[in-house]
Amino acid sequence: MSHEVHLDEPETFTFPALVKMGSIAAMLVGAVTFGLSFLGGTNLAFGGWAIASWYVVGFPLFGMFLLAINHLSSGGWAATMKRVPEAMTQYFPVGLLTIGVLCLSFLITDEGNHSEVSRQLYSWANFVNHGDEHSELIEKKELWLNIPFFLGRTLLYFGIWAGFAWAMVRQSRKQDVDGDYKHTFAARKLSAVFAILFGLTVTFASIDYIKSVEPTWFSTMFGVYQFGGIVQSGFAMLILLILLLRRTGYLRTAVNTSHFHTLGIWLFAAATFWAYIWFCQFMLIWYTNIPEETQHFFARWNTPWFWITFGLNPLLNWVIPFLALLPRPNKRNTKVLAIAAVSSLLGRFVDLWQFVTPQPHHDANGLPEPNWMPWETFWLIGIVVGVIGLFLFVTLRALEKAPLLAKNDPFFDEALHADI
Amino acid sequence: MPKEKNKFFLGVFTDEDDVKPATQACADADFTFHDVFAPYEVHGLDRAMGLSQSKITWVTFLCGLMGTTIALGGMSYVSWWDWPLNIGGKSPFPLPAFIPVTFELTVLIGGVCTMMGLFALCRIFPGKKARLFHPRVTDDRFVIVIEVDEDFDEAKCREIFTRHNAEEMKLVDHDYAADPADAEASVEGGAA
Repeated sequence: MSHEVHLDEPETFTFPALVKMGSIAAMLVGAVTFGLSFLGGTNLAFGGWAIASWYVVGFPLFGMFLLAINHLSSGGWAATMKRVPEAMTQYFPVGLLTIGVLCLSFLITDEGNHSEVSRQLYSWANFVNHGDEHSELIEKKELWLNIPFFLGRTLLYFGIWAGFAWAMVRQSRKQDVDGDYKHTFAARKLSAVFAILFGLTVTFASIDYIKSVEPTWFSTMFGVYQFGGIVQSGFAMLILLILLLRRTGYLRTAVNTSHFHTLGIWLFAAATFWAYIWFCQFMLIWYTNIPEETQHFFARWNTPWFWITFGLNPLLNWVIPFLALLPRPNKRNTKVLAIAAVSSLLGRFVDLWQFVTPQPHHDANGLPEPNWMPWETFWLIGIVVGVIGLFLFVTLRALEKAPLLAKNDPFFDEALHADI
Repeated sequence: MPKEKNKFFLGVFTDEDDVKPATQACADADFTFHDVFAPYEVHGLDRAMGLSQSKITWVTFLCGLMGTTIALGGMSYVSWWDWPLNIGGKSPFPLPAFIPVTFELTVLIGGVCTMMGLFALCRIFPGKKARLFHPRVTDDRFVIVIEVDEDFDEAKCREIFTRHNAEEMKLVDHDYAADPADAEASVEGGAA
């Protein structure tokens, strides 16, 4: 029962040496895994890189999403921890580099390749029309899926994301100096514009980087499905980052049990939203039974991928977080929260992995057949570990550059007394 | 010894930051709360009163499970067990097609039962007479209502209420709705 909270904790963050070493070690793991994955062919290696780079670009996107919705809804609860999502958004320029590496896959062509398995991750790139129905279908999409436009769109997406991230964080830094409320109103206006652009760019970017691996597949729910995954894995990462900060002696009083409760509610909601969209995408396609749509699930239904796509994926992304976070006391228990967060992060990998790596080709009967089995490609998680290491390095470096507590935020006092 | 019926001691407060510590102090002094009234939800007041976690979550959970069972059981019986139906060449037990209805019934039955459970736990029903201890409790006043039993120490209670800036204190043997004259007096007295 205290209406006076005494902030007795460090107000600036210094990157702990052990964590820095850990993130560098993770980057090494990623580099070695990415190098070794070329032994499985350029197709597989860039598939792994597409999973990892898009997975991790989701974190800064989530950071912007959280800042924007809190500004738009006057959500004050996160004001004491807002430096963490702000630091997450500083990853965008590095994220552009990782997508740049992904674009190197366009240098590889299928010229002189007589195997059924393509060397290219994106079969629409460097496209040769073989005169069959499949080629015809892809040729119609060349208007959108061509290399110059793809590169231009990439620059546009990252320009918008990094630009808004820079502008939002700038307002917050200015407020640190002069304490003027007008910066909060300016950030609110930025948030309103960003919210619209966020919906559009995330949809198109997820189609470009992930869905165009299977360019002949149709799904109108893909954008919102990826949005669900980004929000869920983002909350999971935010929870783990805050637990890491508390473990190393920061945010001890600024983040209290009610903040963890709120984060738990969000993670629970995001997991359930993801499950809802994931299931609806499958159920509508299964029910309608049109070949353009079912080809994707066909290759995952009658093969060992079934246990990944329809077993492990919903288990990690929804069943475990849902059951773990259903009772109220569990949302206030940091151990249970950490379990749900780790499960969500693993689940995000499984979700992208089962999408990108089976890479079905058409067998003699014209039916889709996966090139890779789950046990041949699960180790690609090493690349994700590496890029997450890179993300932690960039984010925690960015966190050092500003006071950890945004004391001039008009919601700071409200957030300090958060009590639910 | 039975407690004196319908005797209450009221403390009227103007500020959330006064009523919370006053409630805590009353709980520490082992007074029996009739209730604490506030015009809006005061976070932490339930903990200050020493209330245990609401049982309503169990009503929601069990009724939600009941909805799941009714939906899955009903659809399975109708389209598979009693008379297998062939719809669009799908299996007679098309589980994915059952999920949306199962989800909806879980939410519907869980939601409706939560509302009814809340009414039952709060003893609210149509036609119930409101028991207002203070006319401004729905406007801008916070009221702590202590039950007067054999252990009640009025001097101590007055001391706690005064310490926390109580605007008004009084012993009542009925509630506000029972006596309009008293209500008017309160309004005049409280409208400082």
